[in-house]
Amino acid sequence: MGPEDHDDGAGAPPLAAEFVLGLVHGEERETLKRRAADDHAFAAEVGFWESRLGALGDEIQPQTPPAHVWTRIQQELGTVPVGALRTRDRAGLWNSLAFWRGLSLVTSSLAAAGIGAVLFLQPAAPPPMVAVLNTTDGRSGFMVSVDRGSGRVMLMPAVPGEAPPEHVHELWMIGADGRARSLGTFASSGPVAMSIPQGMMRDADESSAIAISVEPSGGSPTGAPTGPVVAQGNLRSI
Amino acid sequence: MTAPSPAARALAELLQKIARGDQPALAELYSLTSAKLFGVCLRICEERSEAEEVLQETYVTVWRRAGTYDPAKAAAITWLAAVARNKALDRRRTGKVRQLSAPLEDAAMVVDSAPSAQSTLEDAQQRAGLMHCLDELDGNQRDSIRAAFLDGLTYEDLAHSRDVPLGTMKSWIRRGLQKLKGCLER
Repeated sequence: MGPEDHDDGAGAPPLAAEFVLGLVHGEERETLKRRAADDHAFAAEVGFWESRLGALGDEIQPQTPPAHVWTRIQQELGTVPVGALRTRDRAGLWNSLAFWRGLSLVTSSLAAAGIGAVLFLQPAAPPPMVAVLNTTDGRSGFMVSVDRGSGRVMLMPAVPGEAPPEHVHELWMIGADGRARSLGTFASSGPVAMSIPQGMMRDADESSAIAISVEPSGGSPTGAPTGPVVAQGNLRSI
Repeated sequence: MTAPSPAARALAELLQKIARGDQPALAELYSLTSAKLFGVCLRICEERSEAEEVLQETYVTVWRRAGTYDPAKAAAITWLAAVARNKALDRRRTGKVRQLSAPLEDAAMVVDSAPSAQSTLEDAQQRAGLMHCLDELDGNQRDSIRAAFLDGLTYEDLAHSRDVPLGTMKSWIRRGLQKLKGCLER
């Protein structure tokens, strides 16, 4: 600070307000930033000025940002629809989705099918959700992807396995209320595609779980799971 | 605290969801707030491309730090704008004198500007309080504080813009801030 820094005796500089307004820059700003991180009293003062001066921002005119800003945000966070990425970026995306890593039992062809379901989403559609259904012995048994835009559900068994004779597997979504609603039955040991009603789609969120039970041919006679649950997992956004 | 408006509560709820890793909530927050925050960035950044980068950084930070938002302390839009402002202020180049985006004389105070859609009743009270307190300041103090906030100008930039010695500008603003604090705390 130079001699011109001394004003005519107005007292100690209001450092927190100076920091919030951005009146100082460079090293001085960095010093105040570190102080705000370490010094609770100073941080409280910064909070006071940020909340009180915030109203000055009302007169700033909104400006719509170009669409590529959102795409870049998604890329940085690893949440972009795969179709928007160049091929060489896909490995990075794959690795950034932490829960996909645990899916070692899913064969590469099934995994590719899973990515395919994400790949063809329209950019405007709500982001897809997925669930890894663990079997009762803790292994990854199925992967489920839910495209909330179209109501399409893809189910991929990690290892081929069929329901016992004269039985089927039934897929359930369990909401926050604990109620299980049937998404349909399947007998195939390969990938299965189903459609679920929009009304049910609206309830699909991160408080929902997906489960598979063994039911008599034709599905549960009661509308709720009656046989043993062979796999379950929580629905997650990707 | 007075009850926040439904729109303000919705933003606060979105931030809570984002803190739990809800990505659709981030997309919704972006659709509701990105135009406002881009406006903030454009006022402070010199280049449009730089403002775009700052906006990107802002939402990445929001994604990672949404859990630190405290609805008891500020409205969600105020917190978001503060994140954007701080990111933009961090980008300013040391030693480069910047200009006002508009002459101070043209930037007449809009005391009765319509509250933004996300404003809370409490915001309205804070705004009224701030405007009242700013009115108690001298014109030089008030205009300089407003320009610093809106355009992200430093003491040096402001002294240059107003063609006054740096010490004079510091004196205007520091005295203004002290008076403002006394008034806001009343």
